[in-house]
Amino acid sequence: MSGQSNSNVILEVKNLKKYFPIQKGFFKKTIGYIKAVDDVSIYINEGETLGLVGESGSGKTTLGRCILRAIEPTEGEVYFRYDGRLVNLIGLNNKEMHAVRRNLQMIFQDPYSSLDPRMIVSDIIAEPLSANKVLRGKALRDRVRELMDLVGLEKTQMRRYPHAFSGGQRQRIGIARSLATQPKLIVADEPVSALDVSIQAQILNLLQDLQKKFNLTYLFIAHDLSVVEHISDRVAVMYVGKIIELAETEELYIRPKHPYTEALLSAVPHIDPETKMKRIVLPGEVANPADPPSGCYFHPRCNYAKNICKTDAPKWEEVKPKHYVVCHFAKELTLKGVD
Amino acid sequence: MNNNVIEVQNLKTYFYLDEGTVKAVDGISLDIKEKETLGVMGESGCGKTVAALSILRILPKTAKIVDGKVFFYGSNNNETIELTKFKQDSTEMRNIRGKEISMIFQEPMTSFSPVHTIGNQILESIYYHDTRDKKLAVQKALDMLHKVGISNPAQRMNEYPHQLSGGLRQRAMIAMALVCRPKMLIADEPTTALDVTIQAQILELIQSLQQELGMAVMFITHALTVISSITERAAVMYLGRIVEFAGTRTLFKNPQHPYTTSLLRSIPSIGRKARIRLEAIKGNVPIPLDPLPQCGFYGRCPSEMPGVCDRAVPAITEIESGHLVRCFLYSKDKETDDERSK
Repeated sequence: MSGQSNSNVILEVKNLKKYFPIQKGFFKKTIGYIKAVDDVSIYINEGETLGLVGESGSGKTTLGRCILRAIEPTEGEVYFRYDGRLVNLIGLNNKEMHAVRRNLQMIFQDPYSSLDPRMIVSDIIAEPLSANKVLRGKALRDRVRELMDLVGLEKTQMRRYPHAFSGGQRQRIGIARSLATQPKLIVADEPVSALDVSIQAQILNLLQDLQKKFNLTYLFIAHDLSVVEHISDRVAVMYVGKIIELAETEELYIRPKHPYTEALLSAVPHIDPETKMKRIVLPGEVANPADPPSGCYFHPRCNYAKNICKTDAPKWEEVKPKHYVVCHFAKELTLKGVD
Repeated sequence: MNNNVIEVQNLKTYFYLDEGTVKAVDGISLDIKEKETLGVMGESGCGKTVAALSILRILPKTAKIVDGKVFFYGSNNNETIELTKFKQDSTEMRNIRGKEISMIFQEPMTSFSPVHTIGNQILESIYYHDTRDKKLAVQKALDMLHKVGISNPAQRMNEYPHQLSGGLRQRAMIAMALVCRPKMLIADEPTTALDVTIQAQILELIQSLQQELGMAVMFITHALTVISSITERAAVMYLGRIVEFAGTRTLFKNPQHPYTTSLLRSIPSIGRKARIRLEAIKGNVPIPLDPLPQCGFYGRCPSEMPGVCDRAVPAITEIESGHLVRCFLYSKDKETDDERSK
């Protein structure tokens, strides 16, 4: 579905599903499922940044966590390049997963709740290494110093607690910690959205520098379309558990093929007060993943919906090389992107 | 005659804490005209919310307005009301809040009571300010809910806030704020917690209601893009002070204060095709706890002048008509000492 398995691919996700059961009553009878991730297939090349955008509740975070097996997916395969071959992470037992996990790391959204307030900074950064018994003693301390230097923290701050740091610095601590085990793939879940505007650029630049230096691969999850445009090579748009469009960044932003992408792009206020873009105001709200609409999930809010959209679910289609869309009318519609 | 709805003159609100004095708002002056949208932009801790709370006099107990005046001109019999003269819990202030000046907040869940229905909370405001006639009041509430785009308002009236989604709750809060048709609306980050498509709906709604009711809007946000798309004039705040104040177009096309210019350069903007490196501002956002008598941006500023900027607080100066900047690059004027010691 997602296409080529060339040698450059570091992660390939195939038909991944995560259904959360809805339970009711004393006996916790399952009365339905929330389809948080519903049949998602994507791949990421080594050294690339794949942006993942979508509104709250669209399943971005669940997808990221299923890839790392922080949550067990219901169904599907996640292939990760390890020891020169693609290994299906879902089939691994705990011991095997433990060995692979060093290569997979996560950066969290909220730097205030993701750091243990009772640990000093050097211990927080050292934990992934000491827990895996990779390094100890002086070598460990040197490595922590090196990591702090890498993310732009002062060595004099090593023995402080997280509360003494500002949001931006805390995010640097989180990044240092995730780099400790020299990972290949980092899932960054909204890494800048909790930060002040004047700090965001520092962290975005840091992430880009580190990527260049260590040939890191990012799955960059965010709701801010301008941030995603800035940092991503390719962008995937998610709506109610499904990827509805995937293309190279410029292609997706200039020539969107899905009406939802068009509406998202038009809803972003523009920095230039003279560019008054015509906002496409979507009626209603994001569909409920526990009770999604029939046919195409987007049809109740779509301005272009026809009868077929109410009954038939559209298929994943490559409308142009490397441009994938899930829409019945992807080829017919002329949609407006950003200028 | 000027057509200002509100005028804030040299307002100072300090918090007296055990650790020291937090000068959250340290001498801001602004005015908002009829039917105008004024943007107030700033990062967390710059005092933008405290400024709004000072106007409405709903400050927490630790805060005190130590100086400055707030005049309100919008009342029906055209008299000037000096809001800073009244006590925080006075009847005069109660009559103004919700009737003349209303406020909407970032997180609607915290501004609604969770144990009362949406309807009762909206009706409370009508009963207090407008009419005791129940039938009429209910009709007014229904009309307002309909106006903010809530479908099936009669049913929603009987629901509790937790039963509504984020976007609907924000609409219900706007309905509650506007049901007595205030002359001025203070919107404090009303769209920050919302998704872009819902943000677009709410911005559209605020703008169309502003047209219809003819109110002045003070729009507080940290998002430059929102300021640029809906305001006519905007103030940029940093560390309790306004550092730049201009027409929105001027502010974005011809920014003068180093903070504004660096901020504009540091944010990724949609449709900027080449993936250029962002010009980050160094350092962190300071906390206004016992601030030094120097320019607040000193230490982060790309064009700072040691020996000048760290010696005194620059005064705000008009560099061209309607464009005010607080920076020693444009004027040698300082905030005078006696003004500071007040």
